[in-house]
Amino acid sequence: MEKMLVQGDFPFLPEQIFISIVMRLPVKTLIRFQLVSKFWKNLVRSPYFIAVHLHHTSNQIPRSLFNMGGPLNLFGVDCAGTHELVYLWKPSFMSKLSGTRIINSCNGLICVRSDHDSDVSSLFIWNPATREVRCVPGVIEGDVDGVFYFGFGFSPFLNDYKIVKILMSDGNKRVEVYSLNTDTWREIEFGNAEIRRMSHDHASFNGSIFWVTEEMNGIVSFDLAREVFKFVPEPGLYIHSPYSRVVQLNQKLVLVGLTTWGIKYPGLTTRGGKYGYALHFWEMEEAEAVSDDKKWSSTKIDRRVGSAISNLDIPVLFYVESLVPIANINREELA
Amino acid sequence: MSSSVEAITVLSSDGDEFKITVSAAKLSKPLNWMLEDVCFSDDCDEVPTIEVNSKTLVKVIEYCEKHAPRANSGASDSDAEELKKWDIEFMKMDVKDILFHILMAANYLHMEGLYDLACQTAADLMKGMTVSQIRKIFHIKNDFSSEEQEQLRRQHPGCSFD
Repeated sequence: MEKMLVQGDFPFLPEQIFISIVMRLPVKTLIRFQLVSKFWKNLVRSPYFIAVHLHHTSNQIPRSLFNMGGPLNLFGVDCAGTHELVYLWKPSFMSKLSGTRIINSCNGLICVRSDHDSDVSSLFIWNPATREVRCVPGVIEGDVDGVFYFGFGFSPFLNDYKIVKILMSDGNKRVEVYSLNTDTWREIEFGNAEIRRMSHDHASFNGSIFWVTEEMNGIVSFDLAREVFKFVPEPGLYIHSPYSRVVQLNQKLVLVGLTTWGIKYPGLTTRGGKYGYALHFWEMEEAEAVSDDKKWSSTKIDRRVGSAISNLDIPVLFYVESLVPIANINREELA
Repeated sequence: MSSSVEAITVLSSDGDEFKITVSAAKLSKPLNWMLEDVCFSDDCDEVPTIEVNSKTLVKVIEYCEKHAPRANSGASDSDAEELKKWDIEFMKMDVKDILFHILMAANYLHMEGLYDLACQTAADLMKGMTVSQIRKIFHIKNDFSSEEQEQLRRQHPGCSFD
């Protein structure tokens, strides 16, 4: 029997219909409607509703975020509707942080790194929609000989968010993993994958994190549940472009490559001798799971050409808003 | 399968008769199944009752008739654009009075397009409402104690209980 949520006169709305409407509300509105009644407050905070809402939002066109006028000043373009620029809230202390860099965004959470000194940095996770912040414990001490790579992603299997930190120096790789649920770091093995350098940009998709190797000959994946690294050779794609990254778009893992002509490929100069850019999107799809290994096949899905696309117009992040709670201190405890 | 007629008659829950073309009726899964199973002809005395009141059924049929040509044959981008504009106009209605009834009907008749459209319209309307307007629409009482109210006020400084 479906529970009737609306009492009194007609109309009675069955729960399923009610949820179908409410999951379409923006986070800002849902936060406000917690004040309607106990039922609304509990609904907005329930893991079930948070997941349903996220699932719905993830199927919409994600917002492209652009950085403007200062570090972490993020503006999102509402792709679906009005195309207006929307400013993303950030905690005031973040404006004062030095050397900030965005690690990645996943399910409405943004992971940020801040270098306080030349060799010490700390990490934050923030949800601009619910206005919550998690200060990740511990500081990261730099290594003169090594390069740090970070990854941030979600494991549906564990229902947990993790940050992976890889220090690569000559022949050595040190890996630590942070879990949002346990709020602790743990050291793990890198394994045998032969990787020397990779991109700092990465995508979180289907319980794994993906980086493009520096040589652009393939993709490095990290399974967040099993905590295993794997090297996936580039499947015969031409991705040797000045810009190449993996992103999650519309529930698919997409490899975006930027190629230019007029400069690099004289034969392809457009009429009038103008320079042009093309963004290539390749979709990576999980092939039939024959074994335990994940196999990926790819097809080129889109090619956007236009002189309007320049490096400046490339979004720093793709973002969908969510109700995912992350605060170190529970709101209940605060009060 | 099949029907030799171009339109069928249906009854609303109020007992009124309505005509709906076969191509429009196919937008509803249950009606489509019924059309495949039962042979309708002009002398057919089979008149299905749709558990939807007359006022709502008129709107649902209007939607079906408008969307049927596109659903059956596909359409160009300009048609899609035109249809989108039509949907917006069509959805300009009172939430409680009719929109919720349309939602119930779309759910009952398995009409995905209309269901999504009505849900989105309801959500867009709710976005602009105050907390007390939401209570009114859904017949909800403010069941917070004054202490709980105070606590929530502190947690969400920008929000109002009214």
